[in-house]
Amino acid sequence: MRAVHRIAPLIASLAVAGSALGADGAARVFVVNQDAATVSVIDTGADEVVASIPVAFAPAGIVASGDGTKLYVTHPERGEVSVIDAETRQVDRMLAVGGTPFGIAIGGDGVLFTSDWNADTVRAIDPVSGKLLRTVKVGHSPAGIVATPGGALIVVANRASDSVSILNAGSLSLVATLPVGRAPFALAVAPDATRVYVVNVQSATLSVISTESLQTVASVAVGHMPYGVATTIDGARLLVASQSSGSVTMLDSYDLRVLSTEKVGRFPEGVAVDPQGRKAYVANWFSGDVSVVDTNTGKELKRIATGGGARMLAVVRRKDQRSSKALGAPAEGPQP
Amino acid sequence: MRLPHLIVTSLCFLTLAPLAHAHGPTPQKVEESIDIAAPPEKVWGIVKDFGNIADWNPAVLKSVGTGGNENNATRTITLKTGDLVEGLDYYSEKEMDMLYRLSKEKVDVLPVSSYTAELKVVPGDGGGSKVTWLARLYRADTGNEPAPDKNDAAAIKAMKAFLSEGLKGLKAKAEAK
Repeated sequence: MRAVHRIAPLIASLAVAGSALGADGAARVFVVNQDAATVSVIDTGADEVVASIPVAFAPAGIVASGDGTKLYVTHPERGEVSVIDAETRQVDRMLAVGGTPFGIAIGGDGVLFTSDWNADTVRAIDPVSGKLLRTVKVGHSPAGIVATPGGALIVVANRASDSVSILNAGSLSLVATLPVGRAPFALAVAPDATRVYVVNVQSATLSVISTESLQTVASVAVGHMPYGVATTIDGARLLVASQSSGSVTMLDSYDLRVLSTEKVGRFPEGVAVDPQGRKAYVANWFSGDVSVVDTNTGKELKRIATGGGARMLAVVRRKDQRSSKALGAPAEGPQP
Repeated sequence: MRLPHLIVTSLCFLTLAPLAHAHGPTPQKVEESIDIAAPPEKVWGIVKDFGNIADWNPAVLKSVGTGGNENNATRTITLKTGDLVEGLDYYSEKEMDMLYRLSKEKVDVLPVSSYTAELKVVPGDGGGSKVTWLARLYRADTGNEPAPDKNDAAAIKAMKAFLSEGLKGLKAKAEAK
């Protein structure tokens, strides 16, 4: 508890800087296509695929570095992480991290955090050497993992334990373990870092966790089989992808009222939000495409073919905007 | 003489140990569809009762449902290899669509550790129907070195055979005079 109190002021000051971000130019969305073993790059200005990067077998999670120059992609079946150069759009190198790295998040200092599905651990990994820095036991089958803005806390969804573990990013010590709904999978952090949202696949609920009180403060019913969640940049709205109904439900972040439920592609999973705050991108696993959703109306604007098994996304701002990217990045964390 | 025994024992351990994990990181997809010379309403009428799948599916020897066609309804289906319990997640009479999932893995019945499946009827050519049955599934052994009978290929093959046999049975029933 004490550790969190000390961390809180730091998060607050970073969050203020985050809200002052400029909003010119189009960001890029990097989409992991698991079956196709590619990462598609979508230009959010034209909403078109501008590149397709071949990667190793069965990529799963993705996260962008704080400065937006690199993307890290997990390969759970190979025990590796691909490091992609955002500029050249090529795989720079592979980090042989071992195990079954699944979800991936990045701390404020660039350290990578992976959830290891089979080992029931979270690992801190050096982003350059791939060396294991620290490891901690969490619940069973840890899936989605996110860092709070500024990277002070790491939160992981333990799918087979119906809980989330909250970790201190620096020491990787366990701050709290909280019960949530059945089969928690994906997570998103509020831009001000006060709340973490978790979607529970089997109970079809969204749990709200307070990072201040370290308690589950609310739970609300969403569409069946929720596999992805994101908040808008201003934190006012939540988008939840419901896999079985092929829809995205938009909720008010504060009173958790459902604002809309609109159809997208088939078996949607990961959700990411355009830094300009007007559009969301939803990866549709079965149909192998990405739905562009208007975050005002909740309606699908366009569907972009990317590749088989589109599951996870990460957003990178244009070069001239990258100085503040770290603040927005973790919210698009992996949703394996 | 002792050596072969030791090897057999360790192989058994290797095969059994990873089954503790309910899911794996790489889901697989199987999609089967069939054209049926009967109107969609008739075909949907045959398949619509979640608990009564044994009425039309020759691969299902027996089925017992609870909760009707409401969300969270369940059914226990008996295959030649044993029983599986499935739970209904989404049901739409209007869209002639249902989505359900395996409630608890039983890889000796079907070599798949978990699945979600969707059965949907849409209008086909000449007043007929097209029925699509698809599944998102994980192999039986979700560790990184699955045995050949518990890998992705085995899971896909088994699911494909199951869905395809069901659809053929449905076609035969719907087209019967």
